[in-house]
Amino acid sequence: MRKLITILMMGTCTLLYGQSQNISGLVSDDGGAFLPGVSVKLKGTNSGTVTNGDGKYLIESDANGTLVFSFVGYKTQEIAIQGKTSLNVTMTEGIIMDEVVVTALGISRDKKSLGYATQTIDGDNLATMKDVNFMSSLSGQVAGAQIKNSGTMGGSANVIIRGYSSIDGNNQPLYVVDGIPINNDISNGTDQQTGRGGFDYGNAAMDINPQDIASISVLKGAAASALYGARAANGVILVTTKRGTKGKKGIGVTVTHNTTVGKINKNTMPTYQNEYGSGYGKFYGPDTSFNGVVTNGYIENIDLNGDGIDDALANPMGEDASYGAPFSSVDELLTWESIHPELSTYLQNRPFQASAHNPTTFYETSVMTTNAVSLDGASDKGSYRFSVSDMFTKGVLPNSELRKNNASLNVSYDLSDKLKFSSSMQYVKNQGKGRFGTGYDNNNVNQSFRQWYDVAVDMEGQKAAYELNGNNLSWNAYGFSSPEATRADPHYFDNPYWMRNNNYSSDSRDRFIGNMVLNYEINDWLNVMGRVTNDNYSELREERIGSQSVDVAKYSKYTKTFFERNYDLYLNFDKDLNDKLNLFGMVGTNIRRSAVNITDGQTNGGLVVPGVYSFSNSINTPEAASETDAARAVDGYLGRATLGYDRFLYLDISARYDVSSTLPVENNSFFYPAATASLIYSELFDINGMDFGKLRLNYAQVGNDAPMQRLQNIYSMGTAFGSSTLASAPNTGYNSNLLPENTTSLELGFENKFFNNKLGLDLTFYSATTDNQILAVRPSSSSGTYFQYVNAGKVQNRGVELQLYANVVKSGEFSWDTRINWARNRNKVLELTGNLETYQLGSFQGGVTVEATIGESYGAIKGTDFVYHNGEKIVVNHPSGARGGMVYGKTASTGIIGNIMPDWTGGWTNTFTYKNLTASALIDIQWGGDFFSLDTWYGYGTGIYADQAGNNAEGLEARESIANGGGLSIDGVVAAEDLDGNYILDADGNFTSDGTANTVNGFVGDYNNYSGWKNAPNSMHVYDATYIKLRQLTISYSLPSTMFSGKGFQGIDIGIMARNLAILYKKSPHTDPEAGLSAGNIQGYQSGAYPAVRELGLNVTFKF
Amino acid sequence: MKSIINYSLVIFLLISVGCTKDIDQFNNNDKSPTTVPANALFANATVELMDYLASPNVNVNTFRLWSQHWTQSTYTDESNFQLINRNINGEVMERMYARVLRDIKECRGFVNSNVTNSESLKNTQLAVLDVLEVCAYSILVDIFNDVPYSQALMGVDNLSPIYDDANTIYLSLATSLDGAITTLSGSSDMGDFAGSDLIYAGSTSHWAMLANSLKLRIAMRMADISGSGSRAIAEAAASGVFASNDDHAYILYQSSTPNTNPLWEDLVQSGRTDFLASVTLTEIMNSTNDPRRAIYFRNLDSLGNVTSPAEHGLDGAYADFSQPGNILEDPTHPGILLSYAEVCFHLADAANRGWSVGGDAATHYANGVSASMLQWGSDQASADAFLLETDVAWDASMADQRIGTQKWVAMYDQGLEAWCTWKMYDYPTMGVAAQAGTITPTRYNYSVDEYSVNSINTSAANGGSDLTTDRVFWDVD
Repeated sequence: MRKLITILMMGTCTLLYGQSQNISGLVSDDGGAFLPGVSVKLKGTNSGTVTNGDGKYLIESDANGTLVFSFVGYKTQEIAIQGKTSLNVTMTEGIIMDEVVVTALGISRDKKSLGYATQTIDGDNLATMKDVNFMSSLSGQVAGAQIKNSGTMGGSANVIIRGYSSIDGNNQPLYVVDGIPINNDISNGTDQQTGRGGFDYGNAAMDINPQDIASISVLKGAAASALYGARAANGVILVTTKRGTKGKKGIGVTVTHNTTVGKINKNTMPTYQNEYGSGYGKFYGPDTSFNGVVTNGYIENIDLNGDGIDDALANPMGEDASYGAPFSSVDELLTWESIHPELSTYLQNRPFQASAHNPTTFYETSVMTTNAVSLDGASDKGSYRFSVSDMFTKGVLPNSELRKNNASLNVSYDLSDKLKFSSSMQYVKNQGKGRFGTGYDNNNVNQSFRQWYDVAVDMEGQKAAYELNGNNLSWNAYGFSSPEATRADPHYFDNPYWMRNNNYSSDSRDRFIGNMVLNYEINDWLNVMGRVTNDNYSELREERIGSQSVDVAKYSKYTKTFFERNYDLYLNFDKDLNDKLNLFGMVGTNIRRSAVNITDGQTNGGLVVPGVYSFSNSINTPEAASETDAARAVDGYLGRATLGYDRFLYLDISARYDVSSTLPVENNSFFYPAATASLIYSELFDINGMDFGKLRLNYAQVGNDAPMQRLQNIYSMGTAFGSSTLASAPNTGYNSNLLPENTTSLELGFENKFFNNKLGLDLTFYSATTDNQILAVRPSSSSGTYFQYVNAGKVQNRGVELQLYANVVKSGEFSWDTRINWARNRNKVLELTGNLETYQLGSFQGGVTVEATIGESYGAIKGTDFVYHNGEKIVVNHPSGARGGMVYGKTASTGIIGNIMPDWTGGWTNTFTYKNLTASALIDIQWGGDFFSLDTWYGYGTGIYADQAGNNAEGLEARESIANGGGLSIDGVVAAEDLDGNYILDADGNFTSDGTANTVNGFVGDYNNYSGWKNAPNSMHVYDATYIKLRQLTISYSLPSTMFSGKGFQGIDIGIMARNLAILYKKSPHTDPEAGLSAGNIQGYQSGAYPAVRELGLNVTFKF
Repeated sequence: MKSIINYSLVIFLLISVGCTKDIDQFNNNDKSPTTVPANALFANATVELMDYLASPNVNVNTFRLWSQHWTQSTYTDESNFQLINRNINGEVMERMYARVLRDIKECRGFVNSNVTNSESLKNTQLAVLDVLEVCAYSILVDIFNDVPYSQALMGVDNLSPIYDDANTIYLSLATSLDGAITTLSGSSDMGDFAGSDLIYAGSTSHWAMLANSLKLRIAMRMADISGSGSRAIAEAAASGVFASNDDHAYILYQSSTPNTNPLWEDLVQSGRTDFLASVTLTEIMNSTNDPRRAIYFRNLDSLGNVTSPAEHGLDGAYADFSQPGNILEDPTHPGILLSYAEVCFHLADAANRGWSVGGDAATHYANGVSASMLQWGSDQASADAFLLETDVAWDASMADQRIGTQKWVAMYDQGLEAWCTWKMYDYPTMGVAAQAGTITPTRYNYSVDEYSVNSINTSAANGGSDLTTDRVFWDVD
């Protein structure tokens, strides 16, 4: 406050006694490097300059003024001149509330002039974390961005800013690197996204090297991003890469090494029972074996020597469940180790016991090493930065690895005083092997580990069996009751070690991203910029299924090439119209051309020669490969003007007009405007304790075009049936009458700083409505099509975002800063089309769907529910009378049983600094939101979880029959019956009750229990996705530069970091609530979920 | 300076004008056809229809289980009539409407717009399509009762069609067949359809026989409804139906994927061990010393009997019981659309009712049993001996029991028709499924998908009742 008064007084003094003088100085960073391009302005006036190539500035001022120094990525400083003529300034690297931010089209702007919310993240923060996918490192760092990691090596990250607005289309933000829009395709197939299997190859924007990132700006609302056009309706992640420092002497060399190791978090794996062996129940033999041992039908009697008399006991190993005999019932029997002739234990009895190595031991320690070198340097005319990096990851699954190589070059050169050239280029090569299988698929080990498994299987035993000769010696062999020739073959599941080493994918992506920019300064307020940007890549994916697998041996190959080029021409202006009025803006064109070309083929009917993966090795003639060849062209015309009045009132108007190739010619153009206003009221009023106060208001529209090639129906050709050609009508109906989509948004925000910037607060309220959406609705199949493109649907998102910053303690060289991000989004589907009341986003195994239903929030999970009487669950007799006990009554029809959208998300960062030592911890929170778990849906029916074992409340074995006191207590009231013993149903066909409390246990003695898929309502397997995670912890130390004087070094930074260290709180057992299938619109479903991986890394940076 | 500004403005203008022209050309799809030969759609509709009927896949067609010919070993949901978890009721609608009927509709469009074919050839091709279409719709009615018909297949013009009355649909199908029969009887050329005709290789006279046989089936379904006109329909059809096993409507699958019999895919290729003989069938076949036992099933007991778990729908260890016979494990095993045996049993029923369909009930019944024996590779002598078995020999006083039971046994590879046979005659007696606690339901209820995307019409269908214990309109006592 005192400072403010001082400043105000100085202002007054200036008016009274102002006398001009020249002030000069040098601006450097805290490492001592000169900083060119730093904005130096005289507070309260229009006069200003920037530092030159040597970091020097010269400005005319009066002796009592205040200079404001600002630069992207650094804290803005205000320094009173107090009569000095020389003022050297050291800029310190910034925190989130930096004053200069990069905005749409890469324009650096004074943050206070912006009429919309943005958030900036320092690149070093991301680089330290070294996540393969830089998007994952944004978790918890951005208010209003929900980031979900699929948990697989190099897998996709789902990034949603301010909720889902498009019902069917892309909801991911646009990624722009140095003005280059980059492709972020998630080309995992529909099967992968709906949990039906397939590998997760990640999303394409992960190619960006976190090492090269200087800063990231997140443009959240339509007003902030509208100039990018349709694609930016979901927000923009704007990445600025590091550049050379002009004017710096010599060549700067930075060498970085990082090693990170990871281990799975066992709290996110199932808690296995360890009392019962293989089988589904008492179905495999007589109650008593040939030698009088009581086996209760759990164990097979086998005639091993073929003399017609049973002489051996065998585990029903062909079953993939653990509802078998208690381990205590038999000492030894024939197990999977007895059935494989290759094993030394062939035909020998093996101990019947719980395994010493459960599936958590299948996961290995992941290791990631990163080495990077960067060189930068400059002359008066230009600068450059060149970097290469190599990132190598060995994942937590056997035979999984990923290598990413980046080379990037940023150059700038002043061709003349007025003409400047700059270019940035990146080459990225990604190579993956053994990507993680996902969903309900034999190629995902978790389908077995979480759903279908025998807890007696020892993972070390499976490993040794595989390593013996590389054959598929599965725990899940057909079993001794099958014909001898095939009894050792795998039944439903392969040996997981064999599977990982034989059914694997390999992939590579070569990518070139670059731009070239020419900037000509026409006069002091007008310049013209021409820019060409390019993003192109070619991708190869090969998948294999080995010849011994339970699945048909297969080789498939997918190739994809993609390019996008943008040609921009902007005329930029920045003119002071008079003392108080400034006009700043641009007009320009953006021409976009992109194309994608895909060929996808596979073998047919198996492979002739095992281990040869080629189309020619197909047993039957391969079916024709599917091909895509599609292009898009968008011509955009855009303009923006900001009118600033006396540096406290800003009015910003922008507009864009697009012509798109994907819409029908008669409707292919669309126009959308945006207007924002910002008022810095702290300049008008003196509010006690407030350093800065701003009000933001904006309104914006964004149009959107259609997906490519959606105007005219096409037919598909099938593989000929003998000599008869087959062709079929399209499954998806296209539409030649599509209109552009439109998003309208309104946003109000406050930005305040108090107590000498010790406390900062940024609060935003927004509402956005997307209507006329282009979507492939799922109509009644009797309309003759699975999907039909129409213009329909209206979705509204409303929300609040809060960013809070506080310097809690500042004492000498110790400082404690805290930062909170919090956001809450409320989403509602307002309209669909025709009689449609709901739009199905995904239909899943288990009879569960995820839908956008009118009147509900996007992402409603639908399925069967409990039936309630006065809030208590109604229970009914077990439908299979012989088992006895009770099960929960299920609703006769499906209804809403959950929603994928969280109540709120937040992040809390605490940073402690003492001298050169900095420690920082980030807590990431998602509160609310639901998911359905196919894992427990099936797993509770196969008896692998501890939940269906042990003793019940009465102290008896839960798996005993109800008659013998077994079962687990099942809370609720009993369903009402009529005199004939039939249930009395209400008008909807649901059970009713008179409120009599249930006293009978629920049966858990075999797979047909009350809690698994046979009898449970779907809602019993819907879990609250809430989590509080200790997302990251970093400790970094910069060795004092004084240590290195004369030794060639400029500095050494050492950092220790940990990621996903702990889940402090969660409401869902046996899993990581964050786990999902893929990035995309289909969320809220876990099937074969991967455990979370804790990572610990060491980072060393040498600067020369 | 001015000139530079002007210069850049000129560039703007050039770019603006130059690029937007013909921008729609970028949206062309050069990889996929927008028209296809009609015969390719015809062949595809045939294969899709046959694939549905032949499939034992639990996600697709559960009628081998619902007819209680088979039961499951471990995962017994479908043997206990669970439909929702796998969206089986939604799948049948998708297959019939979006895969079969839609192809037929599109095919009709291409036939009509073909200017090189003669009018009579067009009519012949349209008649063949009508026969396939009737087949698909009658399947839907037999499974659900009311289904969309008058407003179906309109694509974007109607995304949520109303459900039509099942009886009305059936009568409309009979009328459609009348037209097809007239056209096919007076024609001998199918033109370019001949090479795509996977059932009869272009024989119009056989298509006429299939149309008549289908018409007879439709008539006999309605036989118990007074005033349905089924007698007249049956009598009109009777003279043109199949006359021997040579007239069967079937397609021969191929040895290589993807055109293999779906049975092979689920029994062999999948490597699974799911299906066992159901006690409902084993008891009847064992008690009548049925010679087809060793063909229908393998792993018989030492007395040559089929063995199965004690109750239908009860878990049974795969190796301990009889499993579907080796004959079903051939990828080229034919898929049957309509068999001569079925026709014989329909004629037996009609004759037994005193309708003028030629011949007497006993003969038609014996023909049906014999046709099945021969179809499955047994011989006439075995059939003759079998027909002397006490519970098999024709007995007019137990016509429903005899026809129902033996037709149901004969329809072993036609699960849907076997289930319909039971619904029609209430024979044989279905077992109570072990876990469901009920006998086989009499219809599919409507799918979760239909309720979610076409809720008003779905809720109004079937008189507002949608239970699996409701009956289709022709299933009356």
